[in-house]
Amino acid sequence: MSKEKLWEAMEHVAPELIEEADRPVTAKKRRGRVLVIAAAACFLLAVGVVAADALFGFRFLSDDLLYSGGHDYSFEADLTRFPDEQFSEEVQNIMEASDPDQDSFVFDTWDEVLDFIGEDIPLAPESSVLADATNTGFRVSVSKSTTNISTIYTLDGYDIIFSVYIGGEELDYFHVGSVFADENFNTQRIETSIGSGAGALIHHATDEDSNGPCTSSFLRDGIYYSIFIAGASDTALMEEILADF
Amino acid sequence: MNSEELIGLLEGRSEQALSELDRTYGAYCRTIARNILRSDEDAEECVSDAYLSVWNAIPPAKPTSFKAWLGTIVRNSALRRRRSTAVAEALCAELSESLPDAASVSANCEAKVLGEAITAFLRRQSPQVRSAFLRRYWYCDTIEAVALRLGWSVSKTKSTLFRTRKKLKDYLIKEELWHE
Repeated sequence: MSKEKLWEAMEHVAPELIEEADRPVTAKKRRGRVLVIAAAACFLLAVGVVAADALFGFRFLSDDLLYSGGHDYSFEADLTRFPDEQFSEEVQNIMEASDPDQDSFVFDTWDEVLDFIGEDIPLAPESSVLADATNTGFRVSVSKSTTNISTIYTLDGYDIIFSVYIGGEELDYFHVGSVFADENFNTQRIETSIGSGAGALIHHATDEDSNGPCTSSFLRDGIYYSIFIAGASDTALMEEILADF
Repeated sequence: MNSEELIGLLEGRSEQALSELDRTYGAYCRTIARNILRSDEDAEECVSDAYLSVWNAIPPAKPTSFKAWLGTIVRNSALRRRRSTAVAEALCAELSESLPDAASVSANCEAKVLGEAITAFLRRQSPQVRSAFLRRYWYCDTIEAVALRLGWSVSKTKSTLFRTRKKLKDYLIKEELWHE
């Protein structure tokens, strides 16, 4: 009976929302498509064997973007190990207490996160593209090995998962990411750069409908940033966000 | 004709009222009915029944959001018909798929309260996500129709709806309207 109640509850959704959903939709042009063409540092690598070298600070743990029996394409990087005293006093107290009940916090704005982490940790300013989007609140988890910040923005109908990893004093190894690889998808990698000039990787997996997960990864001042957009039809939105960092 | 004028005709028991109703809102009503019943003939019958309900309800009813009110009458009329069962069951299952089973609704949570919570949740979403959700679970559009309306691919529509259902679940649990 319980699940039916949710269906029944749809009858009681506010009328103005029902009417809004019936209004004609203005088709939105994908923004920033020109960026894909104009970006000087941008070129496309075909799927295939890739040398397992460092690139933009990342080391690839496998050298093939092709699906191989369930193995995702992974990479790692050495993050800066920020000493405790470089964090804000509040974060230092949390690290010292190591109380698992108090190591996760939620903030409404990126400025509040910056204030909480401390001005001596070189976090990037919020992308102005993302600043205009709604988000679920910034969740910050603190420990002596890593401090993680994450939120989900909603922009242009996409949910964008934004994550930041800051290395702490006790960081000894950090596997930063993996790229979706599946036999039904074609995964491509684009080498590009963020607005400040640092290199960034975009991985875009596309299915037969030309849509799929699009992930970008970059290191900025020793801190790792990751942006994930599900069901992206191209990399234009990702490029636009990266250009703003 | 705007809704105030139409309500005026209905209140005045004008013979013109139902023809104007059909002229202004007929396509809208038939779309809702057809989405659920998947049959033009049944949809036509359902819409006629809905018009009769409107004639009987006004006066004294004076809905502030006439279009949504009318749509609700049509939707409920369609859902009550036997032919709608497969469509309704499928959408009900899809909507609830991320929710835990049985005995999970707070004891005092009536559908109206849940509906208000869903409204509050939807207001926090972008207009496009809100539209996708309502077109699918209120208007009962097919996935393809939702995608076409919003200019999305089918896979993007599916993944957006999936994420929105999950976020709704988390919201209902946080509001203590649903327990894991």
